[in-house]
Amino acid sequence: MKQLLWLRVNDEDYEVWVESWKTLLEVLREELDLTGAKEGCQEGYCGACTVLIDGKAVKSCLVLARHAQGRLITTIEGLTKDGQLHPLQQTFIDHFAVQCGFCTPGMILAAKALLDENPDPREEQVKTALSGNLCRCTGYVKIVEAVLAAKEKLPR
Amino acid sequence: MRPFELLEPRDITEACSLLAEHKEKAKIVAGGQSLLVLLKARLIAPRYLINIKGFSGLEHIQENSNGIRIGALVTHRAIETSPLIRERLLMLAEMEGRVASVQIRNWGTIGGNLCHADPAGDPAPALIALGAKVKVRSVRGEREIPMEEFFVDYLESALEADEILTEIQLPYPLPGTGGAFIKEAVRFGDMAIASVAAVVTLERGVVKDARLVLGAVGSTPIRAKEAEKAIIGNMVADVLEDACRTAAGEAKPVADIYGSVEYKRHLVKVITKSVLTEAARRAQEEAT
Amino acid sequence: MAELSVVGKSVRRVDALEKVTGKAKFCSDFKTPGMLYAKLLRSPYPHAKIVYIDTSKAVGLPGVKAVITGKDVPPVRIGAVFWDEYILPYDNIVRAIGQPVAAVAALTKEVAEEALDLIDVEYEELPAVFDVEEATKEDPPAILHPDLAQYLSPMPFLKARPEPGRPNIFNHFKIRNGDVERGFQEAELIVENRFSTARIQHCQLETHRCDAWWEPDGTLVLRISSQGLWYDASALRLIFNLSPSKIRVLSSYEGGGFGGKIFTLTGPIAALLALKSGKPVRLEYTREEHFVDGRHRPQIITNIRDGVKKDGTIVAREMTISLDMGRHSSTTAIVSKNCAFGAVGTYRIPNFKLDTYGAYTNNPITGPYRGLGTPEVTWAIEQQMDILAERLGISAIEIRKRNILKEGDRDVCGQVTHSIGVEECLTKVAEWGGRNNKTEEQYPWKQGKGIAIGNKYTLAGTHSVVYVKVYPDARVEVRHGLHEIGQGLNTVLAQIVAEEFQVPVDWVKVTHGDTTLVGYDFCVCSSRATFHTGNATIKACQDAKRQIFETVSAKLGVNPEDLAIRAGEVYVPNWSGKSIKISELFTPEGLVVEKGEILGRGHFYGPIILEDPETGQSERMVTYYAHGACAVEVAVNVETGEVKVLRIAQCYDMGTPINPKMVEAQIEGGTVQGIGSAIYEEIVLERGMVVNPNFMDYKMPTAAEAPSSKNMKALIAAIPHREGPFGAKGLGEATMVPVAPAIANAVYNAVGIRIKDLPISREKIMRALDKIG
Repeated sequence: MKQLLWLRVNDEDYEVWVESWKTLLEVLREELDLTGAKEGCQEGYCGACTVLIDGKAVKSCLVLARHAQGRLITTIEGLTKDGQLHPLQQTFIDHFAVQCGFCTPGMILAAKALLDENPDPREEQVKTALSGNLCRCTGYVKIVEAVLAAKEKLPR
Repeated sequence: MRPFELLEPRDITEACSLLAEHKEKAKIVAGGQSLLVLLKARLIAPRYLINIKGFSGLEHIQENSNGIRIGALVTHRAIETSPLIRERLLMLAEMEGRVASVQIRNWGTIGGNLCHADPAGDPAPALIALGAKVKVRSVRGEREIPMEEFFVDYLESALEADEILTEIQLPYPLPGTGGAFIKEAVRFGDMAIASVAAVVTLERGVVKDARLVLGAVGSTPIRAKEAEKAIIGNMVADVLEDACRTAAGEAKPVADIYGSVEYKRHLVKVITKSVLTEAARRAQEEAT
Repeated sequence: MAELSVVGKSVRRVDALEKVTGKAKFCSDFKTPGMLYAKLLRSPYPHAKIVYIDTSKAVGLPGVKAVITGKDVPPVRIGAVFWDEYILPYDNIVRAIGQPVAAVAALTKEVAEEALDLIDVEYEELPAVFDVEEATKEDPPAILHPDLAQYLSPMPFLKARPEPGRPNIFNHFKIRNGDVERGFQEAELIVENRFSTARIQHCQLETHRCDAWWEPDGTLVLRISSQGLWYDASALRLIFNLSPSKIRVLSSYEGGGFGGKIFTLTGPIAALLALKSGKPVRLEYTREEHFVDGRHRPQIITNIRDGVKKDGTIVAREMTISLDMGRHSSTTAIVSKNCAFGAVGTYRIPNFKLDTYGAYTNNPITGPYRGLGTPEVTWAIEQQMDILAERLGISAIEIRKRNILKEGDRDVCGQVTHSIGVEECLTKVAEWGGRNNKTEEQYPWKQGKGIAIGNKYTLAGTHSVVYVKVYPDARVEVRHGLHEIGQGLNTVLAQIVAEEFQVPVDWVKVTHGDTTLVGYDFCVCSSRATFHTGNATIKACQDAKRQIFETVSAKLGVNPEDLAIRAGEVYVPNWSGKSIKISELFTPEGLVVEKGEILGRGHFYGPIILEDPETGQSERMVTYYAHGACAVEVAVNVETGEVKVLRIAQCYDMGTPINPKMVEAQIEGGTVQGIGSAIYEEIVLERGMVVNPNFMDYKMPTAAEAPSSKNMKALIAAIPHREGPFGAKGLGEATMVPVAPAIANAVYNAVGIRIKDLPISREKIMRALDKIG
């Protein structure tokens, strides 16, 4: 049986009817057409489904949609403001930190959550903060470089 | 996953009533970081999920005269970053820093982790070593269970079918006490192949009390009582080799893709050495 | 050559903006109205006869719209090379745990899952064989394909040759050069070793998936995450006996390929469900399914026997290579032959004998994995080289330099060597490795250094067709028949077009992923795309420019050969006279009166000379080799067996680097994938069952395990290839090849233990150190 769910995503309000067993990832992708968050493993390991809830990184494939009601959800689609890329999006482009792009939305959001909480992380801290986001293409080197470059561009 | 009905009680009392009504047909859901994985794998198929996420009164990290109380709904991340925990129970915060990934820690709760009762989990041995107790509640009232009696078997806790874990209580460490937790895992956030938590209290350099708990090497965390006996009354450095060998002997590992029984016992020996050394060092520091 | 303006520069990837904003669409990001969800029922037995299947309860479940089993499938066996597979068991035999047995399409995933539980299957278990050495015997414990002799192998340049008398071997490839027996008699030292690699999984972040539907006119449309649209189209054509014009295959961006997405059979299953249900069907592999049935890199066992002189010259080498291919030959059939090239492209060996045996076992299906067998064979060769060096008392670098092929040498297949930069690569990484950057060694960590070199061939005999369209605003669109799997192909082609037309890269648009729009291309594999599709692109650009120059020549009264083009303007170089803008060639409606439109076509073929079946000799079996070297410093924990990579450098010759930063990115990615294969990764099988089919238990490296940027060095030492587009070859796979053996060599240097069977696990180290058990 479907229930009415009110979600606030990227500063916009949505009302959807969903079954109680639907995860936030499924609702974002299937009901709201926000396909930036990806399904990579469905068991909370790969991180491709990462979104922010109240600014904190979570794996949306392991979040019941119902639990996300009333919270502030940010997806990759919400990062660009007034046509301006977030510094992380720019540095990911500039530092060649993108290859197939499947892990990219989740990776950028996990990095944003890190920098929002800790504006001046060391390289080791960036690596462990991103250890919940798998990437098979890049070997992570340029991703870490991009995050460290973005921290220089963000207000401290 | 198989469809279920999500019940949304207003508070813990109502949640207990619902659980008493549905018992094995229901599962409590908080962060769901362990539960949803089981549901998606179709390993369990409860008819009801009883939601307790967001209950006020279960999200505190508070101290009183006896010690620190942590509500069941406190996330791993909150424990990891809590100034109070980092100050008074550092090994707990350190342990949390290597649990899974930051995303899981942001949403998963300490209560949920403990009730899942995975013997490879990190919080359990650390909490047992710190002498923790849990408070559980049902329509029949409340009771306390010492942490080391909470784990019964692989994925089986001491909770009755109608009980909900509400709080973890930790006594303040005595003066001259130091604790540490070390795990060996293949990757940074992986489950332990073997882990050891040690809390020692020193008096003039001699061990007055010791709690040594082994993780991931049995169907539940194992309190290495023989090894503890070998340490108490001595200086750690004098009995270290003996204690490590004894602890390894008390492990009951199962061979799997992470290692043979011999390898895991060997790891226990190696980790025990490091963790006892560190715990003793911290105890010494605390005393001075 | 004139100074290049775009090629050779590290321009930003053309797809990066889409990807960082989440706008880039992957297969499942598309919605097809009325779509059903498919689920597959899989065999629980490694080898069994299906006695009966009763689907009646599943069919009756509300929400279920189609159920298919072996009896519903066209009785056509297909395969990538060797045609041995029904899409579902038409022959009522299952040959591995996880093999699809039935398929369901339903309104929701939950209903589809429930329907699987309602399908009743009775199996009669058959004897099974799991060990490839057992399977390749004359009298193996089980014979998987008794009708092997009737199977077809139609591709002339990849013909499978079964071995009479050994019923599980479907392909035996031979190389014979010189006289190994005589060579061994001349040798002053003979060393023989056996090496093996583990099954591993690609772990593309996007699992196998596709959507299929049938148009009213009978056209089958497939949207698929794939590395070869055209390969998929041909499979559909064969299975459903369709006219070529009645198939349309679509793809968008792929979330990783690494070889695993060439010619999978998800498309035909989804298509059949769509046919039966009359609705579009979406089939997605869960991660667990992907780990079980999503293709593994096959286990490869290499026996290598070398005869050398005291000065390190190799006089004879004999290799016997067995490949555990699993239940069907699949696309790995290519690997069963081409893994041999790993042993061909680097060293000069006067007397050489090699046999590869691709064999069936009742293990899950395998598939090509970055390197197509070369990393596995190199695992053996590069450790052997170190073993020889030590026995002879010469350096690891010296023994390699002594035996490396030079430009113009014939390799053991009889092909003349061209464009081989491995020596320079070796020098560069050795120099980096020799720098005294040693981290302080502290017990229980012991440090060691190791090197290895390797190659990666690109197969011969494939075609690429590319179209290039010029717009009135002088923007250029290139339409290619391959895939952007993350390797950066779209950017490379955009750079080539930009160079040809002398425009900025952002004036170039790249279109791919629709067989009605794009030309034929073999597939993304074998590191062939930059070279083949790049060359076809140049031809297409030249054809488009010819059309432009002919049109302008008439207008200006100038010979077409005297014209050039830059920034949308056609001019005569060194003449300050008339020029014409592209826009002037078009009417406001977009018509070029003289030509209709400007649409160039380029067709490039990389020729092949088929090898002699008895000796494997051919002047052209390989289009080119990429070459490289790896130097690594490791630390081994002698208390726990953990191996850490402290520093690693890799240097590659990929011909001209079209985009140096993207090359660096490929090197870094291959390095970490190589580290994963060396230390962390293994598909653990227990009697044909995958024990660790999830990311928790299958240890793919995370950011925390990857070397930091100051400890990883990517270097280039390129030797242009005379046939490559601007001298480029290819690189995608080579970067994994020498990593694992370099690490093994470093571990030996650190603790005196040589691990010959991947992975280099903690337990193996501890047992070899005699610390446990």
